Amino acid sequence: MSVEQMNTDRNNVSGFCLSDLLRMEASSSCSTLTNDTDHASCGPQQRLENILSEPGNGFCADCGSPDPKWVSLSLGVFVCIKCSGVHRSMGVHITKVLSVKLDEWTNDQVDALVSMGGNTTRNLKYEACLPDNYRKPKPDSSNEERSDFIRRKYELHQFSSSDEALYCPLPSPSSSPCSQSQTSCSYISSTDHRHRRNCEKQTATSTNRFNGLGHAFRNSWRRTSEQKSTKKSNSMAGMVEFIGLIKVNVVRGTNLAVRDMMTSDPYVILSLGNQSVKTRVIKNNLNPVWNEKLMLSIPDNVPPLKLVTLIIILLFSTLLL
Amino acid sequence: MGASLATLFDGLSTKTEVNILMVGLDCAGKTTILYRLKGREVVIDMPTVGFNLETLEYKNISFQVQDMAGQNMRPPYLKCYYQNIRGMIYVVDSNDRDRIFDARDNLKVQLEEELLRDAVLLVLANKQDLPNAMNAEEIILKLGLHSLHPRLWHVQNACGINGVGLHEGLEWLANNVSYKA
Repeated sequence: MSVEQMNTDRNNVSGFCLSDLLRMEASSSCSTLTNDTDHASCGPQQRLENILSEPGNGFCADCGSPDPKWVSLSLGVFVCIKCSGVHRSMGVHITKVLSVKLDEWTNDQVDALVSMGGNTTRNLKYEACLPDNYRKPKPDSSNEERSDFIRRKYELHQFSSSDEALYCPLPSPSSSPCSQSQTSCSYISSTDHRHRRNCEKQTATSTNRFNGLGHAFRNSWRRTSEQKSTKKSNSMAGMVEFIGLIKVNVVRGTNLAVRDMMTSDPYVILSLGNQSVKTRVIKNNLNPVWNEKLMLSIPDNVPPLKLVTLIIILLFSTLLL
Repeated sequence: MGASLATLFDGLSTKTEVNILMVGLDCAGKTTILYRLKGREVVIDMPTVGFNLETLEYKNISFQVQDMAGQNMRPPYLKCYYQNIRGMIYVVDSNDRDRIFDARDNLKVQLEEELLRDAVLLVLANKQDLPNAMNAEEIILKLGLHSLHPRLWHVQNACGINGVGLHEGLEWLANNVSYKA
């Protein structure tokens, strides 16, 4: 192998490192892992290759690029290197990415992956409610498009089948759909600290109209600008009992304030207690149209609902809801 | 005396080059940190295959930073990168509690390398913006850094996304790496 050569010819290293290292890694991992014969007569790497060759796993679960070489172990999907970048940026509490080729896999990890069923099965769950007209990212999609879709899919669970379960008004511990709804909610809340940082800088109210909101909720809305949310330990987020679900249609904003040089990139964050959801970012637009449905679960003690339009540093003029 | 003054001034006027190795488990945020320090924003960062090599100018020191791929790499072909390394930046994903002990073991293996004998160690406790991130004290404890004596080490809270703590880390490196030829 060319290790010796690399030692002596250091200047040349960057020139051949990418492909050669990959090849070296692939060949060496095969050679070491074939010794590991205690499981189904072939090593985890070989089993992984077998899973990869199954139909559905030959294309990235998010953008459809052929021959994905990265795996989200926690979500059980095979993705391409570009989408793996988005997965990585969400943090390991949501998705943990490993390389098929470059990482050493254990049989337990492969077992976990097998039990999740691969891309087709997982997409049935995560894209169950994907609207027909929704444009899934393609292999050549921009990073923004990719990132937006992947975050909605796995972080916000906007297309997940468990969304139906979210309608369940009174979760009881015994019924499985309801426990599923709690899981999804805790997923949302587990990410909200990142947003909270921004949310707490400014809250604003405006002339708002909600479609079909509960009474309690309206009351809480009035208090929006007066109360600051209390910081709760995030680990508690999954333990909260939810008594209902609120759907907010975010339609559009008009005459938003300029926060970049000439324009701004607005988006809306809704936060309720520990949860927060946000719309997509619309670049360079002071009159953005989102037309998005955001969903939040209503906990037993209704905290104030907050709404923030973020325009890089945050400002807000009128927003129609 | 005159000669030493001359070298002193020489040292002040020209940039000193220092080789720094940046390692850490995969997805710890090494590349993001490197490019953040270069003034480029990395929004979505794909896994590094091989390594990135960048020169960072900080005060009168020019850091040659090698950002190694974090996927499981075995020592043999890492060695060729370990020449003349004065400092090591070890990046930890503070949010990844499941793998902090993997990080400890990995760090230990890296530091066993003979070529890194004199390297000072800067641990960047990255991703402090995420929920549930471990703070510097917890990381010192979990990585067992106190057992590294007599190696010089320092832990810096950092966030590669917004750049918090990175310059403090470089400052420490600049003050503590050895400049002997």
